[in-house]
This record gives sequence, structure tokens and C-alpha cells, in this order.
Amino acid sequence: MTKQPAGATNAASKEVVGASESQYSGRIEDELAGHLDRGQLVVETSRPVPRAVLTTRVATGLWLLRVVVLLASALVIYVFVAQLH
Amino acid sequence: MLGENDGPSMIAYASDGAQFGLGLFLPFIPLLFAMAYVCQEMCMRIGAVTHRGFGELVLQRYGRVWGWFGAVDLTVTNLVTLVAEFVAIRVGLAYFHLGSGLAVALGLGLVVLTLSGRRYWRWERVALGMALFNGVFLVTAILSRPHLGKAVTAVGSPLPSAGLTTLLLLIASTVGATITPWMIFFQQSATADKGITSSDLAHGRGDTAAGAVVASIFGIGALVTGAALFSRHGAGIQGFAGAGFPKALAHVAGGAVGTLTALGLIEAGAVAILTISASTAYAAGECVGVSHSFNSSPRTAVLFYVANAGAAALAGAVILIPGAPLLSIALNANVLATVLLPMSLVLMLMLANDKELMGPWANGRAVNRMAIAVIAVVGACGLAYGIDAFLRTVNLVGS
Repeated sequence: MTKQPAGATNAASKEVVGASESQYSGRIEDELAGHLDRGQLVVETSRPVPRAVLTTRVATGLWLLRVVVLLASALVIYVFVAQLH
Repeated sequence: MLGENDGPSMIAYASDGAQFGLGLFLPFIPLLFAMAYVCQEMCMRIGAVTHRGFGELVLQRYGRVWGWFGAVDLTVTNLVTLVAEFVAIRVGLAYFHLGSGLAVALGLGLVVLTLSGRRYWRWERVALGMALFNGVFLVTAILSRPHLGKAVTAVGSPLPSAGLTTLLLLIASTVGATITPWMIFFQQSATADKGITSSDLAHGRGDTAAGAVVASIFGIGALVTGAALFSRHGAGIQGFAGAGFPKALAHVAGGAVGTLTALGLIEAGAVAILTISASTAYAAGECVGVSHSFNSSPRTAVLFYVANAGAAALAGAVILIPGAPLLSIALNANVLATVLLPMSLVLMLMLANDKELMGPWANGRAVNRMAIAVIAVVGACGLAYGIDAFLRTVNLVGS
């Protein structure tokens, strides 16, 4: 977590007196970003998570399940098409 | 969770009541929503901890092959289900003598309207506000004056004689109506889009549980309403491609029940069009690796906005085709979702157990046991229907 200290918010508010509206809204966005969870920041979520290494057993299991699911889908689609006739 | 009570779901629950009474399905619906809670809590937790949608996480963690398989499965089931949602709106409007064109305009108009809000919270409030109208099925259940004593004694009573294929079709479509592939993608992506973090998990769980309870009650409402047709051997439910179902209910239980059921179907279809289009858009953005948020402008998230409106437009175009087999599409949409679901559920379970990603929020033993049971039930239901229906279609077993 990268929470900004509460004091920093007050200091930032004093600094913006007299600033233009665009500068002010920019600072507000900076403050909001300071209160975000680390992972919520765009720069963090744009970084891909590390690739997992699937064991042969897990990979085989996933492919088997994929084949079963595709076969079952083919059965359902066949029945659906047959019902149309 | 209320989005689970979409058009085909409410029709599936009502069909269960109309054809089999309350005996099997009265306890079955809360059980299904308990199973849906197990899945959605995991999705919410993964989204809150990783801040990433399901498609994006599968793609990055397990590679492009599994990521794209998931996205293709989702796109197929979403398009078929979206057609079924437009059919539900059409059924509701047909009761008021309104046509398919208005159903398409209503669905598309809602998608465009909610997208123009450009903020997730605005979209969520519109969808949630509309979803509360799902409560009309509770009103129709009360208005259809069910005999409470009979309802209690019906629980666990033998089922009326019906074909095994019909029973398996209704069980598979009821499972597919409650636990859906699009909801896995939507729940996790929406959690990330909303900005929920691990410190919000308690609220997220409460939110999901409350949704499951309310959706279950409304689902039972549709079941009880449909059961009003049970004494007429389900007459009227087969004609739901027109306005047959609400009209049959109006004949048996009164005009108010017919009118409210028609309005309920319009609402259920409309809310689901919003959530299913959104899940398609999230998956498209995540898999291609471009901006995918309701908080992004159309200029920075072109694919997200185009996929969102495009999916709805494509499905809407199907119901405008003269002679399109809408009844068959609507009946088979949930079954196809049930058959394809185990793949997404297994990947979800793998992510929830990934300690490198989830840290202290990874699944415990109890959740794993429940999740494995859910996957086994969903897989068995889909396979049982697929094999039985296929064998009967090719006349390898007697029908």
C-alpha cells in the first residue's frame, strides 16, 4: 500500500491557493492517485504478471478437459441443428 | 449477482415450475445460488487482490492459448445468450402487441445510454436500479396464490413422469442460467474496474451474498409463478417465442400476473444485455491488451466501446431475421453455457489457489472442496444432457 500521509494532503491544499483551475484539478488527481492501492495505479496494472510454469500433469489435465468440453459442445450444437430440421 | 436472473433464467425457472411443479426445483434454486456465490466470491477476491480481469490474468499467467480459448468460449456463449435476452424482451413486448424492432431499439438504446455515462459507478447504478425491478417475480408469485402447504409437501416428492432428455435439458439450462461464463468474466473485471482492493473483501463478500439471496428469492418467485401452469401440464410455456407464456399466465392467474410477468421479462432481458455486453467488451479489451474501462473515454478505449455496443447490435440483428429459430436458440443458450463453463471454472480455481498472485488471500481447503464440487456438478449436468440428447437424436437409444 502506498497511502499518502494525511499531512501531505493539507500541505497540498494550501499550495493550490491562487493556482489556475487546470492546475488545481491536476493536483486533486495527484492526491487521489496517492491514495490508491499500489496495484490500482495504471503503471502497475499495465505490467504483466509473471507467467506461471504449468507442470506436465496440469497441462495434460487442462488439454483433456478442453477436448471433453469441445466434444460436449459439438454434441449440443449437433442436437440443436438436428432440432431445427 | 442480480444480473444472473436474466431473461432465459427466468424462463428456465418458470419452465421448471410449469412442467415439474415445485418438488425438485424449490430446494434446487437456492442450492444453485449457493454454488454461484462460491464462484463469484472467488472472482471478486481475485479481482480485488490482482486488480485485473479474468481474461487478462489467464492470458498473462497461463499464456495466450488459454487466454484466447476463454475469450472465444465467452464470445460464442455471450452472443447466443444475448440473442436469448432480446427474445425475452420480445416476448414481454409481444404481450403488449409491440414488435421485435422495438425490442432491439430498447436493448441497444440502453447500452448506448449507459456507455455515455463514461464512469463505472454511473453504469453500475443504472444496472442495479433496473435489476431491482426483478422483484416483480416475487409479486407475480404472491398474486398467483400458491398453496403454501402444498409447496412445502411438494419438496422432495417424486417428479411427474417426463422424458429424461427434457428433465436433463431443464436441469442443465437451470444450472447454466445460474452459474454462467459471462458472470465469471464480468464479476472479476468489474471488481477491478470499480477499484475494489483486498481491504474491501468483507464488503465484497457481503455484497455478493446479499445479491445471491435476493436473486434466489426472485428466481423462486418465477418458479412459483410458472407452477400456476403446472396443473395445465405446462400449457403455454412452449409458446414463449411469442407472447404465449405471459398470456397463458394471464388466463390462469389473472391479467395482473400476465402483465407483470411480461414487464419482468423485459427487465430481465434488458439488465442482462447491459452486463453481457460489458463482459464481452472487458474480455475483448483484456485479450487484445488495450484500455478496457467504463472510466475511459471512447477515444482511449475504442475497442471496449465498439465491442460493448457491437455485441448487442449483432445479437439484436439476429432476432430481426425472419424465420430465425429463436425458440431453439433461447432454449439452448443456457445449455451451451453449462457445457463450456467447466474450463473457465478450472482456470478460476487455479488462479484462486495461486499463492504467488493471491498471497494470504489464496483459497483455503473448504473453499477448494466446494469449488471442486461445483465444477463436478456443472460438468456432469452438461455432459449428461449432451450425451443423452445426442444418442436420442441419432436413434441409438429410444426416445
